[in-house]
Amino acid sequence: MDEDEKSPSPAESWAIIDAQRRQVREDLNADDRILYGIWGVAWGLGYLAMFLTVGDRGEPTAIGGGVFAGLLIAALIVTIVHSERRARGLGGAGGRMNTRLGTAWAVTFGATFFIYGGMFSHGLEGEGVGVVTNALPCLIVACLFMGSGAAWNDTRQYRLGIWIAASVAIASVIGVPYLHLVMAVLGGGGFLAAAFLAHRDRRQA
Amino acid sequence: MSELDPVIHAQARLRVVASLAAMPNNASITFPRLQKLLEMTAGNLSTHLRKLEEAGYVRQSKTIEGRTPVTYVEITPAGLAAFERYTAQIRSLIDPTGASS
Repeated sequence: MDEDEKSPSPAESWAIIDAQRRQVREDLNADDRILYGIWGVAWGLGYLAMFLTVGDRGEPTAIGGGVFAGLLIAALIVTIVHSERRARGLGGAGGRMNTRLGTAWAVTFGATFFIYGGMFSHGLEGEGVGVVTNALPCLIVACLFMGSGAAWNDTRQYRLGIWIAASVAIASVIGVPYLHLVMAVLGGGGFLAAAFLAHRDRRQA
Repeated sequence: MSELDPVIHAQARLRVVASLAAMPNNASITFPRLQKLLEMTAGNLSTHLRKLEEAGYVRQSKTIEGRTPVTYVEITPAGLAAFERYTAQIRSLIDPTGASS
């Protein structure tokens, strides 16, 4: 009999099903451990650099801002490359929804830069600037995580969105210079906790 | 117990159906990516997809992306139901008491 047409035993069938599920997960699903982990490191170290290099009047410095920006860009590159590789060749309603969610990130962050430009050109000054410039992108991350979590029934991502919204709310109330420390611990810590839970789930699967 | 579905209960087609049923967010997949995932020849995969399509378990749709024709493959609701039925049968054959479920 043709090997392909061979009827497997129940144990062989179960092994085939299990192996294919694992392979699909390894080859096509984005690895949450990598994505949450890289953003946890970027937020944790980046915000910590901002906090440690803050100026005498609580203003961020070029060194802190540069380190943070570098880490965010690195995390963004890893995210795009990893997600693109895993999702290549996938389509249908799921693929379309992913494309639209990806576009939502680009549109909202693009709009953020115009809002920043408007804030500065209209003369917004003082410590409040630091609070708002931090809160705006963080709240976008929180909203899009909650939206994606709801769309894909991904409870962990949904909860992480709530956690980030709560973290940025607390950090904003506290204000500079401790705002950055709060974001490093709660925000970065939230991402790393999500990465750890994703790792635990994989080991148990 | 009823007979195992002969369309699914063949080594190669079981691999195809199990993979399509596990797609993230019920996504469809291009023929070349599925071929790479399963490490099957194009001819072999086509043959098995045709049998699954005849049974109503799989749908193939052709589209144009840029200037390139692309074939997407996805499992149908009937295919997913048949696979879930098959999986339940296999599970009860391995563990008739249902102790592990």
